[in-house]
Amino acid sequence: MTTVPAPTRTTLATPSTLTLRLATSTGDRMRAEYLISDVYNQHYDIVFSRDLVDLDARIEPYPDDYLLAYRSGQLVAVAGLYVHHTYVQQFGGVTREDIERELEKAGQLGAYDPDVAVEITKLTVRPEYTGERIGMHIFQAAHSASFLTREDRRPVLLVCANQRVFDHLHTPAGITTRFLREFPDYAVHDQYRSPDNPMSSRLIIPELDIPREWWENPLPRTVGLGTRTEGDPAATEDA
Amino acid sequence: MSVEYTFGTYDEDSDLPSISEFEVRFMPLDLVAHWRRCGMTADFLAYFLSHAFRNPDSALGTLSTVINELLENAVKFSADKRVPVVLSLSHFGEVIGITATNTCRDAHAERFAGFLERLRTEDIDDLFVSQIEHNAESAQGESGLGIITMVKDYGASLAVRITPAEGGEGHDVVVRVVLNAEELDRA
Repeated sequence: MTTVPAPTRTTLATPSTLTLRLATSTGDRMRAEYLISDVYNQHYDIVFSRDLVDLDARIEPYPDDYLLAYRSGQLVAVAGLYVHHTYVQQFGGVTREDIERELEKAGQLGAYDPDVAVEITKLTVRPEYTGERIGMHIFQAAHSASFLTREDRRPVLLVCANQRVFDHLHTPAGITTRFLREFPDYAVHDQYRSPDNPMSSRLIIPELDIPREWWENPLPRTVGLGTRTEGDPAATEDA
Repeated sequence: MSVEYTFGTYDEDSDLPSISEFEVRFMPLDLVAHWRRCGMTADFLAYFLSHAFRNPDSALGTLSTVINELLENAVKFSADKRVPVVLSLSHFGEVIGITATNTCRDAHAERFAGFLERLRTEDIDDLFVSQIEHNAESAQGESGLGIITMVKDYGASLAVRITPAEGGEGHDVVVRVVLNAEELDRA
């Protein structure tokens, strides 16, 4: 019998730090959008536009806000946030009533306004920097009040992803996601979903469903990175 | 006659990696033959760049004006209307660099260097008035008013390099305007 050796995890670099901060300038947003475009185009053959969106033609909308992760002065990861028109409401058929229903079930109807929702999206790690848990750090920071709330905004959080993302990111992190709807079929997701890995839209009630230590993490902040290894998760972890 | 002149901090953004780049080569004769093409080209390039902004409409006007100014000058002062002028756009995130390159006659190189020296040493408002007066008296079309306006009203950072042409006759002129992206986004 031939034995196939297990893939090795090669150490590539010494430990470093990752600085997480909000995008504040035109340049910040542009770098974020170019990183997302680059990675999503390579992985999913998707293009982006601000005013011409057609999911069946593989043209996606850009997020409204961005969280940035810098390592050694280079932008290595980004998380986007839909603020004005969330993806799940625009394309997923999620209604105010869907959100209201889940808030009511959780006894939070008075605490949150179903009309004020944001959605984390386009979590992207520059491919050459996967394997340093950068994706997990930015995923964690994206679930902080510093990223999701503003003085005049105390939103519920919406998310759209395939089942594997929920199983491998949200559940191990201790984030509760509340099913809203199956996500309709669009050509843009054909490399992202499959019958055994379906996509759905879900609700996260921030102060109930996100671990307190994540929710209260301040931004900007700098975190230590472990030693880099090959073979960790893919560069995009969200649709 | 040989002119070597540098105005402004010519390489101020050269160590920044650009995020976006666009370069166009024109035969000046194509624009001389159809002058409307200058405005059309400037509008197109401005529109191309404006998509990087949150407020594209506010950036559009300034970008189009500045690109048009550089393009018209490069074409107008090209010695041989069959030798290409090159217009390049580089977006560095915080700033946008717009560069026009052409080859002009020796006499123009000298006059342009003289004008730039005045721009460097004189009060810009006084120079503006002086050039309006000069423009009224002269038919040469070298008032420099467009350049003064870019610096005065659009906050453009200007850099120019004039060197003897590599090919022999005339002078190579590289004009670079750097605009602040943040200001364009809220203009």
